[in-house]
Amino acid sequence: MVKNKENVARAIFSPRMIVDGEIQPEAFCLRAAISEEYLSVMRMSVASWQDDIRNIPQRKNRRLFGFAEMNVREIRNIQLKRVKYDVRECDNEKLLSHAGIFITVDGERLIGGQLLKTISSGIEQDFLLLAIQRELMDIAQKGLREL
Amino acid sequence: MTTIELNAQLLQQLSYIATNENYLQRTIDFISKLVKPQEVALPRSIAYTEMLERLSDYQEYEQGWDGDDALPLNRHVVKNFKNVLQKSKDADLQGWTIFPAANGTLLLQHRERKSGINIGINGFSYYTIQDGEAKGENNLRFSPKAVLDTMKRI
Repeated sequence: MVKNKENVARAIFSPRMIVDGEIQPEAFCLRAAISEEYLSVMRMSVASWQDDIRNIPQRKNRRLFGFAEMNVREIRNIQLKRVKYDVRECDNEKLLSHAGIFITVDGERLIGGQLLKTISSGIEQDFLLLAIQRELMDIAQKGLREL
Repeated sequence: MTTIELNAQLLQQLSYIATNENYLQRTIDFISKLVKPQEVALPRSIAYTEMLERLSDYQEYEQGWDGDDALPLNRHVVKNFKNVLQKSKDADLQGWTIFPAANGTLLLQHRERKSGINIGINGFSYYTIQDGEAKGENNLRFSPKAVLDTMKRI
C-alpha cells in the first residue's frame, strides 16, 4: 500500500522533455505501442529508489535526464470528473521501489492507445486525455529535478 | 533629368508658392494623395517571438525525441500553426506556450488556465478544466480563426 504522505519520482528520459524549465505533457503519456497500463514511478520512501530509477531499462535512445517528484496524496486528490488517479505498488525483485500511477475513466482503466482512436500520426488528440495529462503535469512541474 | 535636378526644380517651384496659403494647402493635399503612408512593420511581442523560436527548435526534433518512439513535428501542423501566429494579435498569445506531441501534432497550452489546444493536420481539439470537469471538443475543422477564437474562449 502506497501511503498518501509518500512522494514518488517520475523519470524523465530526454532533455527535450523539459523546455525552458517547463515539463512537457508528453512525460505523462501512456504509450500506445506497448499498451501501457500505468505511468511508472519510484517510491522515494524505499531506500533503493535512486538505484532503481537508474536501473530502468535504457533502450533505444533513452537515457535518464532527471525526474519529477510528486506527492501521492496530491495525485489521488486530483478532482477531475469521470477520472480517478491512484498510485499502487508494482515492485519486483529488480525494482523494489517501483510503483505506478493508474488512471481510470468512468471506472475503466486507461490503457495507452485504448481510450483514443486519435493517436495516429498528425491527428489531434482526445481532449480528455489532454486534460488528464495536464493535471499530472501541473503537479510534476513543482518537483522537477535534473540529474 | 537627374534626381538632383528634379529636386532643385521642385524646391524652386515650392519657393514660388510658399507665400500663398491657398497654393500651399493645395500642394500639401496633392502630395498627401501622391505619397501613400509607408506601412511600418511593428515589432511583435515576446510571446510571439518565443513561440516562433520554440517552433523552430521543435522542427529539429527527430524521431524518438522523447527518448522513445515520438514522431517529428508534422510539416502540415507547422504550417497550420504558423498561419495561426500570422493571424494573431499579440494579446491573443499572452499566457500561451507550445509543446510538441509524440504523434507529430502540436499542443498549445495556457500556463495559468488549465486549457489547451491540440493542432493536427486537418483538425484540432481543445480542453479546458473548470470546477473539476474537463470540457472540450474533438475533430474540429482547422482554421486559424477557429483556433484563435478558441484561445480567447477557453
